[in-house]
Amino acid sequence: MRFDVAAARTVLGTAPGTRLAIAEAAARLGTTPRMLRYRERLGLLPGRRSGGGHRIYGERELLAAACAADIEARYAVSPAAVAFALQALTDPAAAADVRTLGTLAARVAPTPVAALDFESAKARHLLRLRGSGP
Amino acid sequence: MSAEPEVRVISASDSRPLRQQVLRPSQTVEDVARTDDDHATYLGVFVDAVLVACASVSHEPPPGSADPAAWRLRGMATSPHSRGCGFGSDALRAAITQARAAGGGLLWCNARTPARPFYEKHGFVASGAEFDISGAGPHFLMSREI
Repeated sequence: MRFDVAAARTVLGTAPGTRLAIAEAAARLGTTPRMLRYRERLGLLPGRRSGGGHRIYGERELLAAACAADIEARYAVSPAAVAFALQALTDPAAAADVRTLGTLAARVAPTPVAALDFESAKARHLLRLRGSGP
Repeated sequence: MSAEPEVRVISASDSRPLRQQVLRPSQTVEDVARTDDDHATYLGVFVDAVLVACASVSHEPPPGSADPAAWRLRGMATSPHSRGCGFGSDALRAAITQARAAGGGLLWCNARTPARPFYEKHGFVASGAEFDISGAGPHFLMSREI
C-alpha cells in the first residue's frame, strides 16, 4: 500500500494555509520535536522558518514527515536509511555507486547502455567467429 | 514514527567510526583505535539502530589531582546529520549517570573551546587557561560535580 497523500491530509487535518509550531506538529504526527528536528537535519523534510527563526510546519512539512514515517514503518528502516535512499535518487555519484552494487549483487539489470555494449560486443565476436570459420 | 533514542553501553570499536569522522577527520579509523581506552565505559545513543552520538567515561583524576572520586569524560561525538537534536546531551547525561553509579563525585573533560557553551549548559565550569592539543585545537579543562 503506497503512501496516500489525500488520506494523510485528512488524518493530519491540514490545509494549504496550515502553519504550526514544532510542538503542535509533533503532537499531530505522533512524534516529538527532537525527532522532527532529526528528520529535518537528515533532509527528510523541508526546513521552513518564520521571520523570527522558529520552525514552521505547513502542509508540505507535515506531509513530508508523515511520508518519511510511513516509509520507515513499512520498510522497517531507520530515518538515516531513508535519507540515503533520497541521496541515491538525487546524487548522481551515489546513484552510480548503488547501481554498481546492484549489478554486482545481481539485484538490478545492467544499465541499457551497458546492456547494449554487451550485445554489440557479442555480435562483433560472433561475426569474427564466422569470418574466421571455414 | 521511529522510537525515541536509546542509550546503550557499546564497545570502543563500535564508536570508532563516529569518533574518527567527528573528532579526528584527518586520521584513519586505525589511528583512532590507538586512542581506545581499555578501562573506559563507552556509551552510544541510537536512533533505530543507527549510532548518532557517543561518549566514554573512565576512573581518572584530572591533571595535578589525585581525587579518587574524579571520572573523566572523553570521546564525545555527535554525527553531523544529527546535531541540534539533543543526542549529545543524551550521551552526556548517560555518562554522568554511569560515573555516578560507579561512585564518582566529579566529572571532568578536556573540552574543545567551541563546545564550551554546551558543557556550561550542562553545569560544567572551566578552570585554568585555554590550552592547545596538537591536532585537535584549543581546549579548556572543565568539570562539574555529579
